[in-house]
Amino acid sequence: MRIDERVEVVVVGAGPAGLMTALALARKGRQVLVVDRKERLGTPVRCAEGVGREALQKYIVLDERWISAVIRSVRLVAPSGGSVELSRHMDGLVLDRVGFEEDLGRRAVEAGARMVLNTFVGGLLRGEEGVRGVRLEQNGRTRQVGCPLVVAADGVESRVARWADIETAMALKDVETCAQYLLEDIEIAETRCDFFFGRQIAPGGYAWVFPKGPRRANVGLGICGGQAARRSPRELLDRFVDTHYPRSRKIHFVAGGVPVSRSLRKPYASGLLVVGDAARQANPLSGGGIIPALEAGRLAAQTAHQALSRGDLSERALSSYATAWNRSLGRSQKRYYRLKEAVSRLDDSTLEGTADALGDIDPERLTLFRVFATALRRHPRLIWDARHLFLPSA
Amino acid sequence: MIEIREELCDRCGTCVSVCPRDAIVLDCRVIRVLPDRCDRCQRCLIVCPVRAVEDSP
Repeated sequence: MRIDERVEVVVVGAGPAGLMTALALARKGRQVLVVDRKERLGTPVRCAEGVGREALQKYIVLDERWISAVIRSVRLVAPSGGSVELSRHMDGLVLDRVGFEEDLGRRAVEAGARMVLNTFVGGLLRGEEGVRGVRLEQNGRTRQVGCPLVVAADGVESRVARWADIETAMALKDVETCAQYLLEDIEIAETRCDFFFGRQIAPGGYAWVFPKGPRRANVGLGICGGQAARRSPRELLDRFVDTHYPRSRKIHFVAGGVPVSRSLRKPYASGLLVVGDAARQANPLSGGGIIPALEAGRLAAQTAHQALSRGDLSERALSSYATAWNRSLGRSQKRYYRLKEAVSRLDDSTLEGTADALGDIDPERLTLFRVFATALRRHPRLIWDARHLFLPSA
Repeated sequence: MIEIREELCDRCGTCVSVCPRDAIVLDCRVIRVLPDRCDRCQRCLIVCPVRAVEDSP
């Protein structure tokens, strides 16, 4: 096998999961090559860009330059327009994902990682003992990079894990198919995120309005993949925007898929670790994927560093990554998946009843728990699914 | 045959995430369906957020 270059780790995909893996490994002195098919980090922004401040601070020093808005409350809107607002312990951020990822990438490069953009990974090099490198395609030229470890951080559309015989194809009910506009001249509360529910608006999902500064917002919706045959997310979103924000201007459009799946049972193979959306680690209830990606990157780097030090990149050696994930966010991820399954069975009249019953409560006193508890009273089977959900950390 | 209309496609990869046969390639510039791998299950067509996937006999 011809090898043009050797490194210790190739990270495929320069999103939050890949960049965090690369940053953590480079800081430990590992020789890391990050490869991505896009030309510029963070683009296009296939993301509503919302994240909790406290959770994000565990991974990166915040920089005002990539914070677009600070969120103090969340409003849940039922199908007929009745709503409940929550503001208790609410400290959220809407990011500028391009600035955020460029910053993360800069830190990884400063720590010693190398980054190659506009380059496609066309296949894995495999030997007797598993994955041994990648085949890069760049401007019509092919280059083979040998390495003892590949990290698949190639997003929802991941193929790298499949090439190592890990089944990643999702069932239609386990993917949300989404569309989003960046809107300007939109009348919104600048410190509040809105979520709209209902079968007519977003069957098996929700629509969101995340402020990005004065009169500017990410407005999008996601629907259950299994329900997209009749009306596409783009068609539903156009209807939603034309109804709710007829005077806004559509600045930019993106489509995207969000895994709302169980995370991969085995996100590793001999010589390979799988992180982030590629490992289906996003929160299956909210679709939020930034924090799970950063956590997976941190854990993958720990396992990788240890395995490289011992010179053992076998499946068994790398399985400690899955153990660490399961002890960390993997636990809540499983609970959120069960709750997602239960919530997907809620009908519009249950949502209406919930909004009505909560309508008079002071937003400062209302918690997400109370919202679900009220929904549960009308739908007792949910209780079993939700019983663990709202621990202090949530 | 499953085909992707590039003029409508946003290159988001949602189709790739549900393809049970690893039959869709999304590289730096183009997206294409590999006809010898595709079994026309149409999952890609159903989930496409912008209806860029078509199945013609």
